[in-house]
Amino acid sequence: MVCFGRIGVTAAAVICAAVTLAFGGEIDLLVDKLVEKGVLTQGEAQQLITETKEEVRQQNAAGNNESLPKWIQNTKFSGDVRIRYQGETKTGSKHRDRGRFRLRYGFDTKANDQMKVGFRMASGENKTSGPEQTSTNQSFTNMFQNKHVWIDRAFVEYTPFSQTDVPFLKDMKLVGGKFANPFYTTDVVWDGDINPEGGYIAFTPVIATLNTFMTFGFLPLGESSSDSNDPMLYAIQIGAAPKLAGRDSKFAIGLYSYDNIKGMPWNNYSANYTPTINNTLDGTNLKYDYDIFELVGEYSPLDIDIFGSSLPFAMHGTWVSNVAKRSAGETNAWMAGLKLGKVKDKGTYELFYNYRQIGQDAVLATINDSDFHLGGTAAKGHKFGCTYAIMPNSTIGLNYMITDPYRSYQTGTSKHIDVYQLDWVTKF
Amino acid sequence: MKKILTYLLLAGSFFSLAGECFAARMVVEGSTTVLPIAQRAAEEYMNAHSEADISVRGGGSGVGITSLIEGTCDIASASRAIKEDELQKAAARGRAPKANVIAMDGIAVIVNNANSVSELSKKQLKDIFVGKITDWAQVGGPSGRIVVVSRDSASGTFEAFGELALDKAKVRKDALMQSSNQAVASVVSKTPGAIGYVGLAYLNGVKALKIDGVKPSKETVLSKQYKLSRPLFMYTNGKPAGLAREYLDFIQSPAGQKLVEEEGCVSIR
Repeated sequence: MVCFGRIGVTAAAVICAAVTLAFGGEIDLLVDKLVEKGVLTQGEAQQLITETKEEVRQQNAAGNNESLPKWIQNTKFSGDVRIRYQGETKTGSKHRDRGRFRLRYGFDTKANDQMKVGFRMASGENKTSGPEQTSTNQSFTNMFQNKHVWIDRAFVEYTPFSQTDVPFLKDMKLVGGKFANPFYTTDVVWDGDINPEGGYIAFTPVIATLNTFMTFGFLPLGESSSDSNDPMLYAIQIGAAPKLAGRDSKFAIGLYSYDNIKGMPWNNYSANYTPTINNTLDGTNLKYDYDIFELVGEYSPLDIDIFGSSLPFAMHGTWVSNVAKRSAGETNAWMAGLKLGKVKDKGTYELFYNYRQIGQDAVLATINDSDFHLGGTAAKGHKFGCTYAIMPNSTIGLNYMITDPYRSYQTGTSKHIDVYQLDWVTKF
Repeated sequence: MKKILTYLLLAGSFFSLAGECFAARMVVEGSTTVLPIAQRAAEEYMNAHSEADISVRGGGSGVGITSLIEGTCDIASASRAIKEDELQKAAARGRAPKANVIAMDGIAVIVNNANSVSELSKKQLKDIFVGKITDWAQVGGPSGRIVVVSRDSASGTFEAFGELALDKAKVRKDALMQSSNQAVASVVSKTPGAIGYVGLAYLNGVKALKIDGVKPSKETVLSKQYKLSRPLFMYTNGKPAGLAREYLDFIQSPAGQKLVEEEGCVSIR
């Protein structure tokens, strides 16, 4: 790679040998001599010294690491604890205060160069037959009774072509089990706590300067021994994260197609979670099909200087339509919002605001944001808040949601609901 | 029917993109200091090799190195050497970051053009950035508050400056943290009492100070007379191969080093 002449190559070999035996000033003196003699230019000398020293550091690091057991070398543990105060005000109901916590703890480990395994536990309320799919919160209740943990994620990730140089397939991932949501999306469609089950294939082909991505999901929703037509979600999403005028952006288009869901008792696949306003029902059965088309994107056009810090400013939005049922207002949802700042190191912060309207049958009411209007559809309103990194790996934050019903035809459910949450989160 | 449609969509998308398999593609990510060189070199290389597809993006040296460790980029550009904890993380993931020096750079200490101060000692520089010196009159200038402008902590320039100029001491808390070299130069050019630091490529509209009597230049950087000098890196996982090797060979060739000079950095040839 470095195009030295024959003498330069010899010099490089001598220095490489020397650097493994000696360090610092002695090498510099040797190289200085070679520069004086005209064997190396000053630039070549700097390059040679630096690359050789870096090589030694890298080898030392690899050596140190090899002293650890292999399974530790290949395993990454992580988790977080969140303590939350949540206040809820509903029209016609008493004010509710809740203290809650969330624990998540797990690991990713490499089984081999092409296979990764992940596992995560999480807290969550124990309802009639288990936890809610949209929440890992556990309220402080029942006189200090010990609380449950559940399997939040358990997956295998296979990258069959990762050891090849074939660009399109090199980054292809096949993932099966219960895993983090693989789709670039918003909480208009997916609650952030949901970890889908089944399998997906993801590609990240680099096309020109676009950072494109494609994800195909095959996600079972339920299984019955007496019925072969089990409900299923087929999902496809294609997107890109190009630089627009040198600034970050990300866009995607997707279709979430639910199969065998019309006519199903809605609580067959959501026994433990009841949204404030559900989808349109026929008795207790879902009345319509759901093929949810989603456009989602964000763009950061500039940085804004505030209190001496340069903060990234971003706009984001989504538009969603249930194309399986066409009815103005009821089958569409949208959200538009702004973000300022980014939480990284201690002292950094982030502010956000968004407004949304969600038609009653635009999305599936049991899997979208369970905090906004306390879950479900047929709602509209504002969500805003801030997060501040108060110390390394710890943040404090506020979320505030001011919500109203939106074109709800279900009686008894039309309530103005305010929800506010104060959080302390520590990651480890 | 839905299942069939989904599978058809999947197969159609797969085969329509399968043709892309044969193009050589690569992602370069990291330092905003190295970004102009990486972009120019990618453009020139792709002009001469139409089959190559090189995507270049910034984000900071730390971002690039993290991506290299996680396998989401092929080359991490960096304006600082990889840290020990990053080397450990890389080793834990079975990756072996290989340093490739593509240029040298001096970190120029800059002030507003209207500022009469033209020289600082390294000690004065450190005292200004840690907050011990707060007025220009304390370093021989007219009386006036010193406004310290720094890069944010994701920046390799921030790390290198902290090591070379501040002996790893922390920058004063009220420093104006900026996300790019250009932003630092812009703030300093508009603020009479400001002092900041940038790569040599960003000296338009501002005045570079001598440090310990030495002005930053190609000669003083290469000879190490200028103390705030550093190499610029492109890290690969192991020895570069395929397109990464060809791209790095191009940058280190005389033609590539000419681009380095044109972008205001110091050639290693």
